[in-house]
Amino acid sequence: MFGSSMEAHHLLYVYLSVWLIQGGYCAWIAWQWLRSGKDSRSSIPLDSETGRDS
Amino acid sequence: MQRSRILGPIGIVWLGLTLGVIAYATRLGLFLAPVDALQGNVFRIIFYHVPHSMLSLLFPYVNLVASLFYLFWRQRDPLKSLTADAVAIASAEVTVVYASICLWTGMLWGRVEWGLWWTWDARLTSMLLLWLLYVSYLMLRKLSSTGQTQTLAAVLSVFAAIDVPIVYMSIKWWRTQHPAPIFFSGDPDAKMDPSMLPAFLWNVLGWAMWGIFLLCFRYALERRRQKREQDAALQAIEASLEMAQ
Repeated sequence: MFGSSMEAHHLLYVYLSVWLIQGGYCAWIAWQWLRSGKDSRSSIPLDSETGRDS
Repeated sequence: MQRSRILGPIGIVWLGLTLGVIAYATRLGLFLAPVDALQGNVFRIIFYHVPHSMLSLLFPYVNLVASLFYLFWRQRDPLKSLTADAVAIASAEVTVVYASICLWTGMLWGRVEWGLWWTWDARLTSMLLLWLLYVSYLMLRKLSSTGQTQTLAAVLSVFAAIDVPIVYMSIKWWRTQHPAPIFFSGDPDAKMDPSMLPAFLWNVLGWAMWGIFLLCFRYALERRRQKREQDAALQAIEASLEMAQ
């Protein structure tokens, strides 16, 4: 299926690039999440996080 | 118990299920679905392209609804408006990711089938416009330094959502090079062969679950950012009060 023709190359590029873009975006969120976790560990929780009505 | 302590494990289980569905759907699409009689194996691009295209027309509506709630709540209930704003930015980013994939995979398919990377066809042009609108939405949020950035972005979101039905209807309203839709087209030639449907539907399910996961994860990140900003503002007020004493 993934031979040397243009069709085969393009099929491979589609599947690889989708995983790369989606995985890259998810990794970026995870990176920001870990970074922000370090910064805000000692802070006050939002009402929405404690489950209280605001 | 804190809500985040419950949502964390749910998110991990959801992610595991999603990756399982995507792996199964990819296996179906790449290896088990029959080869298309006209297009050959390049037809398998459709199993990723069409679900991403469909979802890139759904996430803008999440953005629209969140933006409308933001506009409604921004003076009535600022805390709720922050929640709506977090949903709006998360859905705009997910829209850009899905629309980018739709355009890119469509170009790769078009190069093989049409011999062209791009043509100014109504469907392609309206989709590019949708992508540009949501990129400009994100740029506005990133670069604007006014205190009204969230309101301006919410208003832009309302206008951007108008393009969604235009993208959907473009292949019905105008004569286009783009293939007819697989569902609801009324064209029997455009319908997908039943043997290919499982691969297609599993891919729709998998990428929809993935999109929901990204949306929730990005929303949680934005809420954490908002919380940090609230803390910084609170500390600044406390510091100014101490100085005054």
